[in-house]
Amino acid sequence: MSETLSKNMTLIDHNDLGGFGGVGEGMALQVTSKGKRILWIAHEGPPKNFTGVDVTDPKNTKVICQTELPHQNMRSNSLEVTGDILAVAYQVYELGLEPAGFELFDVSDPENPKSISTYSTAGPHSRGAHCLWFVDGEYVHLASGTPDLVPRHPRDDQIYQIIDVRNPSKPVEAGRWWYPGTMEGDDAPSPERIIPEPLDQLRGGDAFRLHNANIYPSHPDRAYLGYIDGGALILDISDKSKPEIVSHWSPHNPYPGFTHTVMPLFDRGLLVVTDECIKDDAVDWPKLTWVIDARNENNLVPISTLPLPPVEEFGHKGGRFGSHNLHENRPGPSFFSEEIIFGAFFNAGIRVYDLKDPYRPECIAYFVPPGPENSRVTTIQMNEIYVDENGIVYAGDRWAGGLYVLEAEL
Amino acid sequence: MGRRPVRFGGRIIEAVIVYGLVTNPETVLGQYHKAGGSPSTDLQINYAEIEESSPPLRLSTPGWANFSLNNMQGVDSSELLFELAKEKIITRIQPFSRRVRFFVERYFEFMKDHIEANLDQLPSDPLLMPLDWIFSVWLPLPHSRILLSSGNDKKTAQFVEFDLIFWTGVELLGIQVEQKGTMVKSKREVLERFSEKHPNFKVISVTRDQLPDDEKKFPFEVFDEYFLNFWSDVELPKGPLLHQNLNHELLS
Repeated sequence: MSETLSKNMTLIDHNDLGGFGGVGEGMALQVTSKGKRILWIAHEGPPKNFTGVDVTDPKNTKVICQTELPHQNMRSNSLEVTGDILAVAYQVYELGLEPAGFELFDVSDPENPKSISTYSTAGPHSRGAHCLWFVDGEYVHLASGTPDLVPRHPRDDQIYQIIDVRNPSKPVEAGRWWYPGTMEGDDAPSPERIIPEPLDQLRGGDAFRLHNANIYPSHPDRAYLGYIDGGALILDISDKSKPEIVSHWSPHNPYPGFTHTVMPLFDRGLLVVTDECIKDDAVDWPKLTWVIDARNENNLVPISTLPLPPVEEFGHKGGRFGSHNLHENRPGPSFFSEEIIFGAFFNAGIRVYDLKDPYRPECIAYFVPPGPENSRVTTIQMNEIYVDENGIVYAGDRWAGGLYVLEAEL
Repeated sequence: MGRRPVRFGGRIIEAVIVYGLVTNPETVLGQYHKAGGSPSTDLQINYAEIEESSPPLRLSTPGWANFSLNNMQGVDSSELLFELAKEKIITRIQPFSRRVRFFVERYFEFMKDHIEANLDQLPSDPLLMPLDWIFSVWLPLPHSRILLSSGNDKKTAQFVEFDLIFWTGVELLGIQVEQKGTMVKSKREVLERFSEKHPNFKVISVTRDQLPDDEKKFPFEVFDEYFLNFWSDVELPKGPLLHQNLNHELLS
């Protein structure tokens, strides 16, 4: 693809992150005590740990900080910032390696992040943390393996863990939950695999493990989990030491698995649930974003999906095509809407939907730039998105393109 | 439409309002144009035309709902009739607009209590029950869109949107029931332009504190006395059944 496709969106800046433009699934915006606006970006893979970009002038962004991972057999795919504390997830590529878990940094001086503490989830059956959620300054909600649990299936290793970081120098576990039947010692039977894959492939699909956990300070007793082939779950976490299932919805099978994000729209009684496309060349098409009627949270009912562009146009252009990350309405300097939904759709770029009528979602804007140089695939692979309170859109390419800063005319 | 349009802020505009459960407002606009000029077009199921001389829209105003004979079976008291009318309004609210629903439910409950608390101010009539006055409350028009311009092909009509509108015969009130959120630029600009052009159009924004999710509280304090004392120009209350459809059914 050599030209930009766009509707109601304009590129206002592009930053290749110093040649390390592989963006993971973490973007978070800090507003410092001096009024600087720093976008923290996680990387898809080594050698970089995380990058801080000064976006105070979004038309003229500057990398101000870029850190190194301790070794090349790991990555920090996810991060969040609350106040001046940055939480970074560490995931290793082989079981038992360290560091696995997460690290907290003091970023009050954003050019010089200082480690506050690390929380290790390393163990013989753990590859650490894939994703984390940290928006209240009190708890890190983690998708990670543990030092002690033994998964029945090697890809079912990352469970939901709640880590109390109210004393950031001494994080302690407050609670944990895993999909019934996935750990040795469970009474429940093992879940039926959706699309079985070889056991020696740690990454990828065919997994009943946690991807994203979304917990909002306005509703602190609920956790919204995307549990990959296990679908979407709502947990009651009013007692953090004993999370309990409120409800469960899964389109898999017949749909091909990998529930990623479950985002509640509280005032409207809706959930927006994404599946992640994980195969190139539309092998796992369709990977959808579902709109769920959750007015009765005990009875989740799918009512529509966000319309994707034609598979014949995008499916075989190269790379992945389909749903992935959303802008998640998190607290902070962040766009908040229960009607306008922003998402990253790999080679279909950044897409914006009007959900005013949730039975008929409408794509109102998109931005699909050309495939970046030095990418592993020929197309853009929009992997992550963050929208600030002014409506400025920050989007990241998975392999090489770095940061795209966009204005949406909505 | 051949009649004097209502005045907002000294300027003359036509107040055509599309309201209720509407997927395509342009379709309703087409119905409005098709029925143009008929006196019966003042208040219909999905639209209203407000002019300077238009009487206020009350729960008893015919046109906003069909009350069929089937609906009316078993309705033998003012209480049941009120419940039926309330239900008909509430079913015109989008299922995912919980705060609009909260507002309407609490509005009716408040007005019911308000009548009880002000019986001494109401004209007395031995044939009337206090609750009969509830049918004179202002009619809430949920999900209202005021037409700004029809556009050239009637497919590009521009509207300014309010969660609810009331027409009291004196004022047209736009109610915004605050949802947390960042208002997108286009919507903000339309609202700003509309407010600038029509400074006397009254917009009331109801905050989350004024309409909490978990308390049965109605923000009466944001309304003026004329709104609250809705009975001041009513000699005798009427019920909402003077509707063409019901009359047709009775005659057939």
